[in-house]
Amino acid sequence: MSFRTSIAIARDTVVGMAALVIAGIYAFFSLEIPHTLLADPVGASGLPMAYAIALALIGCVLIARSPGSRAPAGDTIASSRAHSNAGRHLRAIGLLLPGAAYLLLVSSLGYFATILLLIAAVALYAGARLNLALVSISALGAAAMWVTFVMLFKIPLPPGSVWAGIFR
Amino acid sequence: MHELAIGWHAIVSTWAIPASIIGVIWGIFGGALPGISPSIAMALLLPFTYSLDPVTAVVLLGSVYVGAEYGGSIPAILINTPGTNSAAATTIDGYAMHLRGEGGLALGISLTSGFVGGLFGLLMLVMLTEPLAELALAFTPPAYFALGLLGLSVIASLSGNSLGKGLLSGVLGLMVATIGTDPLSGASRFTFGVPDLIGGVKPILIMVGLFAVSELLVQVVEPQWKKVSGSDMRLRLPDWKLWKRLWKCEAIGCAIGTVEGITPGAGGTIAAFLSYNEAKRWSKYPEEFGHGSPEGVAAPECANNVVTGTALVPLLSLGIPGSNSAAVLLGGLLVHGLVPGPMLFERTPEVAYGLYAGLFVANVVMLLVGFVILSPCIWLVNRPQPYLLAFIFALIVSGVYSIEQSFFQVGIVFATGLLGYGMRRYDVPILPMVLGVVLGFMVESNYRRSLLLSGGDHAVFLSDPVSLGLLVTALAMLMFTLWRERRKAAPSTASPGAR
Repeated sequence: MSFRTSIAIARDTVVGMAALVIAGIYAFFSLEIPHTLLADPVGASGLPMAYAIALALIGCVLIARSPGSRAPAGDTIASSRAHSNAGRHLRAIGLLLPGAAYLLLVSSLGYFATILLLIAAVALYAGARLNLALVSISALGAAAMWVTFVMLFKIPLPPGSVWAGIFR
Repeated sequence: MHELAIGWHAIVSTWAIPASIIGVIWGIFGGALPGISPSIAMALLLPFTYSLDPVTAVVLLGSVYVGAEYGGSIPAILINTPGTNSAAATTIDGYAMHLRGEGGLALGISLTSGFVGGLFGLLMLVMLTEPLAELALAFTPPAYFALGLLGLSVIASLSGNSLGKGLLSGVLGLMVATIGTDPLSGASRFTFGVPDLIGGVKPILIMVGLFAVSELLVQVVEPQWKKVSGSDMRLRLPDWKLWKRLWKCEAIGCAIGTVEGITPGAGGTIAAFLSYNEAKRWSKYPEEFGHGSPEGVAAPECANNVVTGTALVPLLSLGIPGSNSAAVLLGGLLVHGLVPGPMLFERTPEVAYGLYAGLFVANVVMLLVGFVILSPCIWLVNRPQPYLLAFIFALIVSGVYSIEQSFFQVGIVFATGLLGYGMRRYDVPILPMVLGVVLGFMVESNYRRSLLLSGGDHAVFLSDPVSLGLLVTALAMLMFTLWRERRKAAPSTASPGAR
């Protein structure tokens, strides 16, 4: 079995297992859907249950199609590539951390300060250097966003509870 | 003629023309950035369309699509890196022309062939959409259910190498569509007491997450793309002698782009490569292909621009988005409560015909803007990638919040982006999930409504002639795709044994 084939099959197994888990959770909550007197012959939980079963079946097919799915034991190339891939995936997913921080801080710090920090943080995370250029570009970017969304589109973005407290 | 007047009136009485100009410029910039596909460029603007009138919104999105298809050829020709998937075929001869010192001419051929293709695609869109849509006027709930299934049958052709993963993606989309208040009984489903979920998860959030956020996650670990040398780079149009040589391959691009555009799931990339192949086959100078043939640029560029028009035929006539970009445009329509299909032409003709007129304007604007935008494009492509990613991220966060002033929805977009990243990494196609989300409500509500009317008798789906026709078509499409995939797979399975 070639390296590429074994990776593809292992992926099918992972996707199939994930499908089974999602189907199980979804089916559990489908059973929790309340029955009402207005219910039709199918009911509010009818199609959700059908979807859960369909997903579980697809998951089983994906797993079944990949028997002996693991890469050959002692395949050091495979394991080292998988290791470096895991690092890449973590780094990619880590990009969402500045986004999560933005969601936590925006109400208190306000839109302008938080979007400035977000631009700086994402640029830093993606490989920019911490210097005056980064600060200036982030500030200019935040100002451009503020003008576009708050002044032009009149979107009521949070002014920030911290500033309201300080400048009261 | 009357329809033409409605279209023109719609775009001159709104902000559609300025929106078209902005859309084309945005699209060219987006297309020129490797990794930003037309659908991503469109998805980034989707939240902004909330505050626009429907005509301006759809014209803006359509114009981005037109602009991005040309923009994709700029890095393809200058740095051998296609800005969009459909520009991949252009790299072969476009970059070879650039190395020979004819990069400006290659860009000129790309621009003019794109213009020809764009106008031809628009003509096909106008000619084919309405007759198809009129058929849908006879639709009843069973027929709408069957139409939904027909749309879902497209999943088979969108599934890439694995039908199983495509189906999985589609079912995930259908599951997301069940979140919120049940359409018939009013019961809450999967809302977990969160008020933001009572109205369901908007398709726009899923699209922005799956297309745009997941692309950012992919790009952050990708190496920087190459820098463009902008010195002595001037766009040059083909002269009359060259035009005479190019018309045949442009005709090939038009024909293939029409067929591939109308076929859901085929799209601009396949059209471009097929056209390249056929142009080579019919050329008087096939030996030049691969070494900087002008025909090798004209044919794929013409074909992928034809697709910008023809890909909208199944969307506007039947409500079936056959490509990522069509799905985002559908999102733009749904945002304004507009459902594609015959009712779009009946109830809001200004939107449908306005889109036609807007696409015409977009193609003309593309030709004009194409002359002046090259230098800014080169400047943009040469910006440090970290800053570009940061600004796109900030744009997504701010744009999504502006839809309903909900940070919960921004969180949904992040979560969907994470899911999209996982799906890309495990080769699970994204578009079937979008189809599932978009068609899920239609499938479920009409299925249950039909059974309610028939007293639970499933024969209603076979006794309604339109429903029966659509179900047979769905089955035929499914069988054809499976047969095509099996044929495609046959040589690869045979080859190991042959060695």
